[in-house]
Amino acid sequence: MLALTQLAPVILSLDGDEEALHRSVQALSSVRASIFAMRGSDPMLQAACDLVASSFTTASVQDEPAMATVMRILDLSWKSRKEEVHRSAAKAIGAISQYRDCSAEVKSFVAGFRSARPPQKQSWSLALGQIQYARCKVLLGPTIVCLFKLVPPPTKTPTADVETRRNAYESITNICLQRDVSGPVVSDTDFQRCFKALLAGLGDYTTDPRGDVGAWVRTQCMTGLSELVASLKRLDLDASKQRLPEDLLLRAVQGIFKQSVEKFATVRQPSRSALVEVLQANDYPFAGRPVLTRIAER
Amino acid sequence: MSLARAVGALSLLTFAFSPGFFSDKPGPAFSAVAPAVTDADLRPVLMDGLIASIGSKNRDTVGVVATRQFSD
Repeated sequence: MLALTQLAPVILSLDGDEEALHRSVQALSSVRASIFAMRGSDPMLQAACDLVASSFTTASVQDEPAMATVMRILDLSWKSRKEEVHRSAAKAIGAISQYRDCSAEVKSFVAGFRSARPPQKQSWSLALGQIQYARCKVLLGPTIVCLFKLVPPPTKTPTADVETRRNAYESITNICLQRDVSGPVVSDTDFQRCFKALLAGLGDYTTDPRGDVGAWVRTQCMTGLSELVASLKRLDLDASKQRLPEDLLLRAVQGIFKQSVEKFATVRQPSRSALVEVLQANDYPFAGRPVLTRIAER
Repeated sequence: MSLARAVGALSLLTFAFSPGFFSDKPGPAFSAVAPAVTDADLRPVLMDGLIASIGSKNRDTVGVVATRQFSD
């Protein structure tokens, strides 16, 4: 499965042989069902999800037995405790959503958060960011609302565990970056709401027996903010300012800069990268920009 | 297809599926089959071998499938 995953892009580019890719997805049905369900099956689930992510084609959508197998593997993957499996499964559902309307899955994730177990919440919060909403735009709004509920402001008691919150911030970023033929799928208003949510995430200082776990959230938010600012590169200054007003950009620079004097290097280092990216990605002429640029590039 | 290339492909597949070869780092798997990937005649054989091996309990399946392809 690992070799087929790596071969898929080569086969597609050299031979354009989608049938061969579909046959490798079909072959998942030949694996005994118990292999994926038994204890210690995480590497198998991860490999199968990676294979689906790399080899899923239109033919796979039309093949009902193959689809049933893929969905069963995904169901098991959502329940896994391994983050690697969650990431692979999220990529797989993202690939499937390019060929098939995944409204049913989105609705199921959004509705299931209240009663789901932590591994499912963690994996679903990642998956919501990988699903392509071009085929189910009507669910974009409810999805964003659902993700916002998972990441309440730091003043309120969080309803989700820290991994789920980190993943939700990643998904908020990914949704904002999605584009279809007509441009970004997220409106300017929603883009700003998402940007504000990421800004709020910079104040997550949750600790637990593992230490400053809020740092995972803050690091994710810094990365997300810099990616969102970088996504404005393709717009001219006026359009950029309409999508991201200057005051929000300034708050992002302030928030990221604050993280550069945090206790842990694991937070300071990403803050430098994020700051450099934010400064390079726009021409907003705010006060102090030359000084910040000199500091960040040192 | 020459016998040398067929034997080469089989040995690559055998190597790729030797016990303990695969780990959570997939890089070496690709390295092992990479020479076969560049050959348009060998690519389908390689794909068939790998696909057949997914559901197999026996690594020899890969060799059997590949051999059948070459003999055809």
